[in-house]
Amino acid sequence: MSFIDRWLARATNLTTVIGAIAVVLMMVHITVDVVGKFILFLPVPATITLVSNYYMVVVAFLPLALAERRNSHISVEVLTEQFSPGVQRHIHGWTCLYSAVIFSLLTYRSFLDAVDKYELGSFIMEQSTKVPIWPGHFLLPLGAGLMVLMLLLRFANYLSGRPQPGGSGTVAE
Amino acid sequence: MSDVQIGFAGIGILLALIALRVPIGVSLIGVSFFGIWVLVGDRAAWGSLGVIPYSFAASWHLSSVPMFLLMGFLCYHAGLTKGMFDAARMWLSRLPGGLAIATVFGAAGFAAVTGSSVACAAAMGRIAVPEMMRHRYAPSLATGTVAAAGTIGALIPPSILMILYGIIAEVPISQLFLGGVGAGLLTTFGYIAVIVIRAKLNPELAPPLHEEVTFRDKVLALRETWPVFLLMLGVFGGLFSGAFTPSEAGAVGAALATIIAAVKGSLTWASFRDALVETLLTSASLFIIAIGASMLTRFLAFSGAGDYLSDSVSAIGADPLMLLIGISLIYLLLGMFLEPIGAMLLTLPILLPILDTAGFSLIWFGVLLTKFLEIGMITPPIGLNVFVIKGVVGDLASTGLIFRGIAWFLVADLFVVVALIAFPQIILYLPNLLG
Amino acid sequence: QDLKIAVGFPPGSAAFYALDNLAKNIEANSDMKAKVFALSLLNLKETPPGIRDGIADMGFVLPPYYPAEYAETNLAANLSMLATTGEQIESPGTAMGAAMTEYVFLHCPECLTEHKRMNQVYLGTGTSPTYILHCTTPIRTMADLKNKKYRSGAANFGRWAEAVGGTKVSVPGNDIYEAMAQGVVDCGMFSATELTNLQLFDVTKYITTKIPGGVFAGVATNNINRDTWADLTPEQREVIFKASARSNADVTWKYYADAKRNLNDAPDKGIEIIEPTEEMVKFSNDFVESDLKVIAEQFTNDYGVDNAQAKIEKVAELVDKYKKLTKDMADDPEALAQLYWDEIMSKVDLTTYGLD
Ligand code: NA
Ligand code: NA
Repeated sequence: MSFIDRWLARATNLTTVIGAIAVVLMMVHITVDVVGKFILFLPVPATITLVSNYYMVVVAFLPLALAERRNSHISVEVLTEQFSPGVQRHIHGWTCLYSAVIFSLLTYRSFLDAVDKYELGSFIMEQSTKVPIWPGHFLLPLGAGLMVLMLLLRFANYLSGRPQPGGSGTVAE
Repeated sequence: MSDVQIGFAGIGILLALIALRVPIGVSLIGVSFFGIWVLVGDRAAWGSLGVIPYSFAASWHLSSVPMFLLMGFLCYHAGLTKGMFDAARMWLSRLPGGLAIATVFGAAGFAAVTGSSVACAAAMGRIAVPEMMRHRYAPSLATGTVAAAGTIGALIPPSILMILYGIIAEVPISQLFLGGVGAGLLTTFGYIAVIVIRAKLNPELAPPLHEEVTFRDKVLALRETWPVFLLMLGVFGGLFSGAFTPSEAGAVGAALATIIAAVKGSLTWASFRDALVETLLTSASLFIIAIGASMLTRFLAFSGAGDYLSDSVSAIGADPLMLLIGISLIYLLLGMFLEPIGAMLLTLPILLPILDTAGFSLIWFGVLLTKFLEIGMITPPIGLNVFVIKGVVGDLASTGLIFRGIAWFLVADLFVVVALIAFPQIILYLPNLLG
Repeated sequence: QDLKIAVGFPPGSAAFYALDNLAKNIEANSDMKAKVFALSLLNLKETPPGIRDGIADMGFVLPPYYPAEYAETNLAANLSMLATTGEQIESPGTAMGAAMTEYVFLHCPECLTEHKRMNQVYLGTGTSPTYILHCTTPIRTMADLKNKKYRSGAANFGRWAEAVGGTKVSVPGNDIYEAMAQGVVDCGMFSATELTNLQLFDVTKYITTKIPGGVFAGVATNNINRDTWADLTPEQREVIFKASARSNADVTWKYYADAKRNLNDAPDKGIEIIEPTEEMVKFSNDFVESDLKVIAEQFTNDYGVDNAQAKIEKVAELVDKYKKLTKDMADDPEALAQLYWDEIMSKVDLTTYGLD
């Protein structure tokens, strides 16, 4: 179990680095495009395509597992915080399994889509620039798949009574 | 069960899942997926799971959200806004809840740069909440203020919602923008009134400043406000001189914040890294919810629930007041669960002709509708602005606490809505004057 | 059989008008029910995969959103500037739409294959009217065209912007209003229908007609999901096929009629309408001529289309054919629909079409 935990930690760290690079690129790319258009009448090619089909997809899906590890996913605790810590632990364990099922469906479906886009060699033409977009489609199953593993690890920890990464998942008032 | 009943049953299950602390995004995606399966079949259910998440996230428009988040996080971690809040604290020391009031004004100013309330809340959240907490403001007041103040972002132009409404209702967007100014300012003053009253009634919520502040101190405090003024100058200047659109403003703002922090000497590797990681965490946790909300819209579209509600209103008959009350209730109800664009798409095709026939100004209604949809951004259980703030404050406050802090601002919103209905001139004065 | 029809435009748009009519025609002539979802089910970008995956049964598909998926169809759509050069007709969209439709149905098996790959059956094309300049600053002469920022939605219009010495700027549809309001772009290239479709009356101050020319022909008016199509009875398929002939004509006619109305209303809304000089029109026409080579090259190299040159010649021939046949049909969608049927769609073998 701790082997899987370590491996997952390393994988999420890697996705975080990629995510951070995407955020910086998004900022620089849009800003340079704005300045280029305004001052030099020279826009940066394919800004919209790259921002929407790469940077945004990275930012939306790659950090899912990191957010799970850090307990950053948003839930409403108004009702469950009335329960005893033991009951909360049971509820949390089983909701992790349910979440894993939902994210598995998403991973499977988006992977099929990504393979289809790959086989077709999907691309977008922004003006006269050809930008392949099929690789971006694999980011979704990658991020969602890591999320599934993270959630399954949490469920296994719950069953075996081990502590959860990132703390118990209860929020202090 | 009829389709509409399945739609409402889905909402019931959604509520139960959320109450059991299933993450909001998972609750929304699961209910929508299985709901569409029941209503239309497995093909459409798998189809929506395949099409919507990618196409939703791969959006140029949404890119302003992570960019404004990044700008806010950079400002916080590099200490760009601290000087501004110190100055605000000294200058507004006599006013109960001065920092919260400064936050509302800040959001109203920011509203002129961004078209969305989520982006506005994102930009203000990391800047304002920690500063208020540092001065021992109650977390519920601090977080509630920013979540509510963010809604001004969609009322004061530019406004993505008003552009979309203008296109759907076929009315001039410029008139809607002018009308939004009145509603946005009224909301601003309504929120300030809430803060003043609450701070007066319970000074614990916003501890007043006890130190003696001389005029000299106040003037000296202004020296440290230059980073914010420079940032604002760059973003506003660029927007109004035609250098960029509101969609691009976030990235330019973040880049400016980076440069200013570097010049100021407060851009450390650690602060930059923290800002990036927090941007990722908040964006991902927010987008998965927004994707779920977008799927829920399709589920409800299949169920015909929007048509059902709209038809019920039209069945009320010709009395304009009853019609307005019915419509208000619909949008308050839909706003609880749906994101604004979804609520608009599900209802406007039926409601617009009814309103037009009843003789209401569609400009006035567009602004009123924006106000209703923005109220939905801060009502439980699905309140995107609340989730933004939850994302940026992390463990400092629970979602329940933020929703409780918002309750007071909802009371102000109720007054604002009544005023907008009773005195349409609040909205229509500017469009009539300048249109 | 309940047909769900998706339109990524709001009610009141030309596309909604045509597909709403389609739904009514289907219901009137068969036992099928049809419901149109305006924007609430699928937006423009989601519509092609949405129909493929069965979220909707039919919908208004814009192939240019998916250049790799619909490369062959887009080649023909990219030639729309042919409709506005050479012989002039009142509504060039009627010729281009019919030419596209005949090309895809009868001369381009590769086109049908790519629709099949998207799990769709193609049912025809309707188009927008002429693309003209909507500006915030007056464009009266060749010199005025220089150093302006142009919003272009497609590559050929972007090349036109560069040819006149301007800059092409990419702005998504929803951002056009703000981009023009703030002066991020000086001119938008689209048809006058968008003055109301995208509420651009407010931000447009000057319109220069006739240039760049061309129409928006990247439309598959009401593609239908292949599984849905296969599940229908032959009689139902024929009803839908006939109703589609009409909806293609409706798209072209409604877009054209709205543009004409908008251009009529424009002066009252403070918009000055400028006729381009002979020199500007000639420059634009010469550009179209030379751009055909660029299109052939681009579709061969970037899109992997075979025999691009021969295909371009075929489309050019069809555009000329339909300029003659449709020149009196600008205001007559019924006659146009009949022409679609007689010249094109009646020649399609419905016992096998879309069922292979
Ligand atoms: Na705004
Ligand atoms: Na809500």
